[in-house]
Amino acid sequence: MNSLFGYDPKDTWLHRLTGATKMLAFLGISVIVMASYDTRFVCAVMLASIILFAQAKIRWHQISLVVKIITIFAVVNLLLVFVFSPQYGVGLYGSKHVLLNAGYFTITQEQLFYELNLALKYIVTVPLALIFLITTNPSEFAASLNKLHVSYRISYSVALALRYIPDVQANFRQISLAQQARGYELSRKAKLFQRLKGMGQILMPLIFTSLDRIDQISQAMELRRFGTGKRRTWYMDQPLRTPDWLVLVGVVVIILVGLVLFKVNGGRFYNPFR
Amino acid sequence: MQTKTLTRMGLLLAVLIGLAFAPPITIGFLGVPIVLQNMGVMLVALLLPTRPATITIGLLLALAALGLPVLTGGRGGIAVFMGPTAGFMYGWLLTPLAYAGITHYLKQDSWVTKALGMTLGGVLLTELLGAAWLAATTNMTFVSALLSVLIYIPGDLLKMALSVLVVQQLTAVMPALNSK
Repeated sequence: MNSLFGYDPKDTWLHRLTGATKMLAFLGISVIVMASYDTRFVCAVMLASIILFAQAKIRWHQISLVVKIITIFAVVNLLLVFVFSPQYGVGLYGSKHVLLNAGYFTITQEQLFYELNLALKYIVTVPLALIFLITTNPSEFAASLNKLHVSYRISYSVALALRYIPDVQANFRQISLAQQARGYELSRKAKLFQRLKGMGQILMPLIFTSLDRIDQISQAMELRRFGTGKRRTWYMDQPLRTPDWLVLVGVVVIILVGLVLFKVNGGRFYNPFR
Repeated sequence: MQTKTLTRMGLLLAVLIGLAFAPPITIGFLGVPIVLQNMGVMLVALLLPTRPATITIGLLLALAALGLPVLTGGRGGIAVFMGPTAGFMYGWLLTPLAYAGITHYLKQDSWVTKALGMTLGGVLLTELLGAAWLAATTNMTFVSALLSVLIYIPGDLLKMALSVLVVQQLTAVMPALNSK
């Protein structure tokens, strides 16, 4: 079963961190890494990100499909940056080292360096996001959100969504294969109208199965008195423990280092061409 | 909020995220692939009352802002919301409200009403905000940004038609959906 992503229970220290810790950590690191263009800093965080990813014991087959999709879109994004602004790097770094003269599409070291920085940001954030998704129990995540003062009803909605993403994926694939077995063509060979009709034939049962499940789930929840109180207790709740605090301190340190480098570099950009 | 509405929000949020990873439909004469996630936004706006629909889309954007790869192409992270394409996603947030406003005085169960509301609220508003944001965050003028987003209009209109068709048939079979 190659679902795109979903919780995979294991016993590593990353699994034992609370969802709130991981959420705050990834939010903080995402912001500082996206804001900074200091290649040395981003590379250091990337290394830490990859080490953490290895420690989460995530298996390649669990994530290979999502990684391929992300890679394709990342490459397309980098190409589009080049197509629309091939001299953006020249403007940023204030110099021009031409590698290949080609008029509008002249290739420079500055532009390649800029796009290298963009690519590194992907390599930082994707492993961290996958760690969060695969090592966090949706029930525990809902408890964590509630601890951060999100209404327990809303946080429970999020938990439901995270829990059912693999089911939606499985349903989509199952329905798609069933309809193709009945003769609906979805590949490039079919005409536009046929493919749209085929997509409609997938969406209709996908939504029907989701709505069916909505009825079952909401009735079961009400029978168990969900939503009758202003507050609730959480079975999966757990307090912040020493590893959680250490992780949060580590994230603060990373953010401070990033901010200090802004000052040292005289801006967000580390300029090796100066 | 009622439990059923909450559950519907949760599962439609899962569908929204799932559609981010559905394979895009590539069509020869359109320069860009048709990705399905904003069709998910249209479906959410059509199937939920305005406020729960807005919250559901807000939750999607919140999860994306946290860094989860829940947008098309596995994109996520706060930077997506500062980049040149963020305007389209802010347009998604306004889609349920715009749809409700446009259809408020029209015949509720007519497919024409749904098509009109979703064309204006789901397609044109999103593209307009996307173009405005694109112009504001890059060197493009508003006119050239508007021209550049026109390439998405045919695909979006097809998605709109498909969404309205799907929901129209769903409500024909499940009248309870109309009791929003």
